Amino acid sequence: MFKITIELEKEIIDELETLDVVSGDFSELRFNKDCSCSGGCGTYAPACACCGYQH
Amino acid sequence: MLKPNLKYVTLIATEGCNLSCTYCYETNKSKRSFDVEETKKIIEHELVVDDGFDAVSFEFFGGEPFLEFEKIKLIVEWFKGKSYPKKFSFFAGTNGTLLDDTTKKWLLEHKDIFFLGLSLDGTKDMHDINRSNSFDLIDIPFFVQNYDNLVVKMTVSQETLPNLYEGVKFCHDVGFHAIRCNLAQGIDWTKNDNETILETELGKLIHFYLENPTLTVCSLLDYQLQNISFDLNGRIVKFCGAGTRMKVYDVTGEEYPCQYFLPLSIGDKSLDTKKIKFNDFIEIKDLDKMCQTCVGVSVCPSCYGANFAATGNIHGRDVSFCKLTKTIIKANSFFKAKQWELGQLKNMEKKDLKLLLNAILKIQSEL
Repeated sequence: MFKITIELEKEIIDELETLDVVSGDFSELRFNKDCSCSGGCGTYAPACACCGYQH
Repeated sequence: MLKPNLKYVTLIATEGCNLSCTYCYETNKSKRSFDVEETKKIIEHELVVDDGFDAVSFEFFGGEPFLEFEKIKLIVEWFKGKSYPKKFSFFAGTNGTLLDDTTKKWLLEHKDIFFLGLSLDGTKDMHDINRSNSFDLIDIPFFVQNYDNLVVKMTVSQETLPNLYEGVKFCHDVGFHAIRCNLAQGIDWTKNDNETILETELGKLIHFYLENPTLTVCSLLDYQLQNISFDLNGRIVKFCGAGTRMKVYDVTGEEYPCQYFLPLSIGDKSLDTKKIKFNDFIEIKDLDKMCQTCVGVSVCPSCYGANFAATGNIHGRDVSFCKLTKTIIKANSFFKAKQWELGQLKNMEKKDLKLLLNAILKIQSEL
């Protein structure tokens, strides 16, 4: 289950070729978008106490 | 709003709780509670100490913190309006069952400094199975109407897993936006056909969110897959803030890396936690062998406290939980791919999109 079709996979590969090469580093990763544990730690302060991300 | 240069200080207000949730990892509950004057000193210390942070979120935790509402009130009112080198706010995660009219009035009067999170495990049936038949004691409209960004924490047990989709949909239907949904940590997930059930429920959720693209996706399908595309030279970022940007003071004023390491949770084993050194990075070579080659390692929601409680090693993961996590990561990759196919990721920056699409292909081929 959750396997994408070969057609969709090919579309993604084609799209990747049109996008510039990029790389990421730690500073971008850490507060990427949301708390990484999504409340799994049980504290779930806004947004979540565990990783330090704040909406 | 506070900036990311923020530390989280959890204050255990009480070791007691009026509920007895099936998955609760706090196995040594008692009637002990914190001392108001000692807690004020802890808060003052955290606000003036030169530790590189410029803001603090203080969280009242339990047990159920509202069992000690009178003490919480005294503390918050003491600090409200005072000025310190660090900005600060207060927060309490609650089971929502003890908020009478007086409490609600006070909460609304202090909304600028005191935030709430609610534990709600889905529909009435789901919630009641997990959380001591307490659904009817929660004034859901109070939370929905007064707290726009309130985070609902929906914990999934083996008993409620077959209704996962229904539970998430219920939370959306009653008006919540931020749904932090996770599988209960520290319980035995090996029984039953959990993997198949989880697949079915995630499939329904994916369909639901693709049909309703304006909804905020629950955390179970909002893994930051882009992180898989980062090359961090043999390291991963520590999954949570335990022992680095997060600390917990228990009712005696003793400090621990997070609430899972408290005597309240793991009894005498907590003595050993003082020796653990936490860093922002983890060397992949220090992880379990099975994790070292796993494509999902940088998004895996590994709970160091649950690991430690189960294996005595903060990196020693539970294999049954690992299987389910892989299913979730695969579902995330499928969901994101479908979102992209349907044009639902058009607002994503190109750089982010490239990282995401790379990650999708990696997961699809390796997991």
